[in-house]
Parts: sequence; structure tokens; C-alpha cells
Amino acid sequence: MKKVYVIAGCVLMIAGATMCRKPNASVLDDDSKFDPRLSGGLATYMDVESGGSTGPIAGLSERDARVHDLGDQLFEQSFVAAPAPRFGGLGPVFNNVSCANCHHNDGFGEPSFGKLGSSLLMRVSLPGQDEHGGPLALPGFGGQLQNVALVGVQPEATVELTYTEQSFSFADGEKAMLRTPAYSLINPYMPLPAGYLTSPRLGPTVFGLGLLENVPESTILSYTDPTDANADGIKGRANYVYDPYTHKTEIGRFGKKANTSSLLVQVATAFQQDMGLTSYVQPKKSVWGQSQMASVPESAIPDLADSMLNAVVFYVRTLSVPARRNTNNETVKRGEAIFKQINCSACHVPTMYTGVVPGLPALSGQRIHPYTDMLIHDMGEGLADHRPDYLATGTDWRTPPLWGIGMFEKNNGTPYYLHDGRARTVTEAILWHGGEAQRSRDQFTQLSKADRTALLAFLQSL
Amino acid sequence: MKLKSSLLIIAAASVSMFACKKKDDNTVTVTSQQVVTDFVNKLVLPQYAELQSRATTLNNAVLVLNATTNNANLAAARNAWRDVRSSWEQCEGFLIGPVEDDNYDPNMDTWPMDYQQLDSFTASSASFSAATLQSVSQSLRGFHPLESILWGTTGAATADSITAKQKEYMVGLAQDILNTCTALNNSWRASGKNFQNVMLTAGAGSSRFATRREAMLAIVAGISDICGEVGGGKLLEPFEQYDSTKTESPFSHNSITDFINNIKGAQNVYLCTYNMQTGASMSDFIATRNIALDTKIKNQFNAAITALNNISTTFESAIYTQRTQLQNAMNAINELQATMDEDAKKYVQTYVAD
Repeated sequence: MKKVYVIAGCVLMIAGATMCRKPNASVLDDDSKFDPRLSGGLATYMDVESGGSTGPIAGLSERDARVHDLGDQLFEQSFVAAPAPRFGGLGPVFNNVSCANCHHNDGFGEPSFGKLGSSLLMRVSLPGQDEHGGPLALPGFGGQLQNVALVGVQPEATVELTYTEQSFSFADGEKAMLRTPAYSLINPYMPLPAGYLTSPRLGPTVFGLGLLENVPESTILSYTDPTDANADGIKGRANYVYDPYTHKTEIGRFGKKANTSSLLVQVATAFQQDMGLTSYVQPKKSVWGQSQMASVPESAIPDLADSMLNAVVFYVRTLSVPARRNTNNETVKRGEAIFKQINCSACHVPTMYTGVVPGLPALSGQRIHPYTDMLIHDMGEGLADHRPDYLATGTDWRTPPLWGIGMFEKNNGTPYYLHDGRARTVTEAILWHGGEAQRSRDQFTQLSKADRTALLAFLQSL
Repeated sequence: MKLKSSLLIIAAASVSMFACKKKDDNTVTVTSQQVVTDFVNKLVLPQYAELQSRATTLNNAVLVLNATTNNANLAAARNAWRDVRSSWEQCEGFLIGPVEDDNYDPNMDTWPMDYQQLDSFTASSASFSAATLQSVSQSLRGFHPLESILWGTTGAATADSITAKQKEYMVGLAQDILNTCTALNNSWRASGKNFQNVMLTAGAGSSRFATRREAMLAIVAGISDICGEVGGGKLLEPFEQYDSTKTESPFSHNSITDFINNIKGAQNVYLCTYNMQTGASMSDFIATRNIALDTKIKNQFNAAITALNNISTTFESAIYTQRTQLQNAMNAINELQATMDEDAKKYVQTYVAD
């Protein structure tokens, strides 16, 4: 009988102690309990000193590691014109000849068109929506301009890019140059329909995507604030897009306007639109119905074997995120506090959790720091492309993840930022923020030089 | 306080004693700074200069062949091609910086070649030059399309069989290769993009290498990467798939020589030896505190090169007829890579503190 009292007493004490704790406080909210370097949780690439910024996630089975390697090889492979014994099916019009030419070292290349190292492509459309709510294809050109072609084939058009520079001065006299791009489409293979819309896009880094694909939809939706209920000037909406493989409307996660819902479709569409290679997901050539189609053999068999597409999808799904550096540096820590103070973190959300991917523990249930809410936001006139993409308007862009941003120079040589690579420094990129981010951007301009340096040091540590 | 001071003195004394002991053992002591400096000055700069010089020789030989197309000039052009290949494959022992950042590697060394487009190219009436080639697919540029003209896709080319259009193409290709090699050489020169400075100032203001350890690790990673590319790609893919259409230099049957030069290039980096010149090397640096590891790496380099030399036929036939030799070569290269990735890297991480 006495034992019962003792046990009951113990239970009461524990219950009482638990009740004393603040409501909702959880060890999971306490950053100090976690290693700050682990941007991708278990899927973090720790060997950032040696040069690379990403590699396969930890714990892949031998078979999975082999598939990852095959995907890696295909990611770097230059594709060639059909018929060919290997890697045929390129074109007849395209943007580049391999994944790696644009996503250099799994990052990006330069903001230019038509060269082998070019990472820019141009989306095109007419005002209005197609039957699924997406952009209305431009007759004769489709939804993306292919500005390069096989020998003897005319590209859809070429793109000329020029910049106008203007200078910006901080109160303390420091200057930054901001360059505004202007694009013109020249030598179209047929007259361009009147009133067409364009949207330039710079190839993004491809690591950490398996984690982002696996963030629960409910988590993303919890960041939305379409009516700006908290009056911080920031709204944030989810894009809902049509998936051509599942034939369903799904939440958009990838692309500059969150205009693609899955990695499978993202990769298959890149193969199809950027290189002209068909697959089981995108079985039609990008020039289907256009005159250039006559220059390639028509085949009912996709250019890419299913296993090839799947290997590349698996490769990008299982690329880890670079670990943070200098996390104990006092300046970096102060920069992190400023990042939150001026509300950058409202859209560039630091911490979230992934769901479960069967068979890939390093992607499952991870506490990650992508610094994105995966939502679309009005970013103001300065960055606008005026080309809607599903629910994203002409001024909306998806918050890009910031993880790995400090590795760009080491990984890619010269770094470029923003959707079209117009910014050459992080400072320039911040200064371009407008719309919902205007308030944070203005606060940034009012920071002291030391505080700005601290903020940049923090971003460099990501 | 006194105790602390005496401890310090004892510690200092033991450090100097150990230091002395090494000198007694005739071990060369080099600093990481010397290794990085000599890597730049005694290895990278001379090799890129040699690469450009051999590309110039190739370009001249192709011009001569174009002007006077006979079998002697064809043989001379083929030799010049082999020479520049040997230089380039050795330079792949350090794929660091602009060579990767600015795509110089894929722009001159992509395979398999695009047979289909090459045929359209050489059948078209449009003229082309090095400038035209700037904008075509990598599989139509560089060493391997040129190889296909000099040797023919079946290896049976003669001076008489080279068409006028192929000659025009070959002249453009040789000039394009020279342009790429020149740009690559300039990218490291102080007068050019000055990447040498990025490396030399590692840990002292370098925009890329925040610490000298990072520069040292980049050198180790360069050695490991080329081992991975040869052992896990160039050899493995055609081997595993029984597929001789995926080999690197199929027309000249130069693939095995390419691989040997890759490993030799990495060995040169490790030993900091090039063209009879030597400098403070990664090998010296590792031997300072771990002679066994240094010996192991040296032996593994020799074993890898020997294993490649044991392949007694072309790679294209060895895929079908000498699989044991190929497997042995891959094993040897993989072992070397594992040692670089694990032991050498750990060593550098431990002993380069700045």
C-alpha cells in the first residue's frame, strides 16, 4: 500500500515539474542544443575545407551509392545528336549540352546566353493561362526559348543581354553598383507573336533538394500570411502548380517561382527543355509541332532510358548541403542576430523539419536550416519580370534557400546572385530586395558599416 | 606560476629535441607554405607553360599538314597531338581553379565525340573556324574530334583520305585547342587572371582559401580526384558495360597512355617533380611526421603505374580480352585514392594549423 503512495508521489512530482515549464517550449526550439554547422542535419556535407561543397548524403546503401555515382556521371555527360551509339538525342534546339555546364560543380555558372558555360535561359509566354493555370505557351516557341541548335538547325532565337549600371551610396559613403539587365530576342526563326512575355532564369545550385522536397506541405503552409495578419509587411503565398506526370495540382517547391512540384518533373523538364532530351516523364521533344522537328529522327522511344532519368533524379535528391563554417566567430554570431533583427528571417526561415523518406534516413526527420519558406513573395518592381507563372504574379519570386551561399566563390569561381544573376555581391542582392522585403532592405541600408559587415560574415558562414 | 613556466620550458625543450632528432635522421622538414609555393612555381606554372608550347607545336604541325598534305606531315601532326595530350593528361593531376571554374577542361577534352553532328559539320557548305567552334557543343571541340580526323574513325586515315572540309575543321580545332591552352596558362599568370596569387596567399587574404590548410587539402583533393576519374570513370565505365564506344581516345588508341599520364601527373604533384626540377613536396611534408604513410603512398603510385603498364593491348580491346589486368589497375588506383582521401587528408588536417 505504501509503495502505491510513493509511486503516486513520484508521478505527481514529475507531472508538477513538467507543468512548471513554459507552455510550448521545446528542446527543439533551442538552437544552443544543436550543432550549428549541420545545415542539412544528417544530410550535411562536412568536408567543406577540401574544396567541394557537396557530396552524397551519409548512409547510402552500396546500391544507392552506385546509383548516385551513375547519376553524377550523367549529370556531367555531354549529350550528342541522334542517332548516336551513346548519349544521343540532343536538341535539335537546346540551351546547353550537359547538366553540369549550367549547374557548374552542382552550383551555377555565369549569367550569359548561348555559351557552353552559360547558365541563363529565357522563359517565354503570352498573357493569359493554359488549361492548367500555367503560362500560355508562345505559339511556335513553347514556354522556353532554345537559343542554341545542332549544326544546320536554326535556334528559336538568340538573346542579347546588356546592363545599365547605377550606383548606390550608404550613409557612411560606401558605394555599391547595381546593374539592371535588358534582354532582347534577336534573329527569331519565325516572327515572334506580339505582346510576348519573357522571364530570365539562372540555373540554381542543386544540393539539398531532397530535403526541400520532403518538407511537409503543412510546414510550408504554416509560413503563409496572405492578408499580412501580423502587419510586418510580409505576406507569403504558396504556389499551386500542375504536375504533368501525376496529372494533379500540387504545391510548388522548385523553380524561381515555385513553379514545379517534384524533383522528377524538375529534372525531366530540364532534360527536355534545356537539352531537348525526351523521357518517360516528358515524352515530347521541346520542338514538338515546330519546323525544327524535321531535322531529328522521330522516335517513339524516349532519348533517355528510364533508369538514366531516375539516376539523375536520385543524384540530386541525395546531394548533401555544405556545413556551415566559423559558427563560433563572434562577428558571425552578431550577424545572425542582425539577420533576425531586421526580419530577413521572416522569409529566409532558418529552421524546419523534414518528413520521412523510406530508405533514406539522412533525409528523414531532419532538423534543417535552408533559410527559405518556399513561398512566393512580391519582391517589387526592380526585380519584376511581369510574367505570371501559375499563382505567382509578375512581381512574385520564391524565397531562394541561402544554405551554401558562402561556398559560391570557392565552388564556382565568380559568384552571382538573384534569379537572373544580376547581383555580383551579396550586398547588391540585398539592395535589390523590394516589395514585401522593402522594410528589411531599408533597415539594412541604415545599419552601421560594422553591422553590415557582421551580417555579410554570417551569410558567408552559410 | 613558476611551475607553469618550468613546464613551458620543458615543453619547449622537448619540442626542440624532437625537432633536432628529425634532422639527425636526415628527414627533410618542409612547411606547408613551402609546399604551396613550390606547387605553384615548380609544378603548375611550368606545366601550363609547356602545355601551351606543345599546343603551339600541334597548331603549327596541323597548318603544315593543311598546306602540304602528305603522310609524313600527318605523322608529324599525330606526334604533336600525342605530345600535347601527354602534357594535358599530366596537368589533370591538379584540376584546381580556372581549369574547372571556366570550363577549360570540358572545352578541350570531352568524349564521346558527336559523330552525327561532326558528319553534318563536315558535310555542310558553311565554313568554320576557331571562332565558330567557340559556340558549338563540347563534343565537337577539342582533342577528340581532331583525333578522329588525324587517325580516322576506324584508325585508317591517310593523307589522301582527309577531305578538304575535314582539313578546314582540323585547322579550326587546332587553333581552338591552342586558344584554350593559352587562356588556361594565362589564368594562372600574374599578368593574367593571376590565380597563382589566390593559391599563394592562402590563409593570408586569399579570396578562396581562408586557411593554408584549405590550399593543402585542395592539392590532396586534386590527386584524389584524378585517381577517382581514372579508376572510377575512365576505366570503370567502358569496363563495366563492355563498351568500347565510351573510351577516351579510341581512334589513336591512346587511352592507356592517357591514364598513365594522369597518374604520373598526380605523382608529380605528390613529389613536386617536373621536368627535372624538384621542390618542397607533399611527400616531404608527410614524411616529416609519418614516413610509413609517405612510403605507402609512393608505393601505391608505383603500383598503379605498373598495373596500367601491364595492360599489353589497346584499352579498346583490353575491355574484352584483358579484364584481369584492367581490374588490377582499377584496384591499385582505388587503393591510392583511398589513402589520399583518408590518411593523407587526415594528416594535412592534423598538421597544417594555419
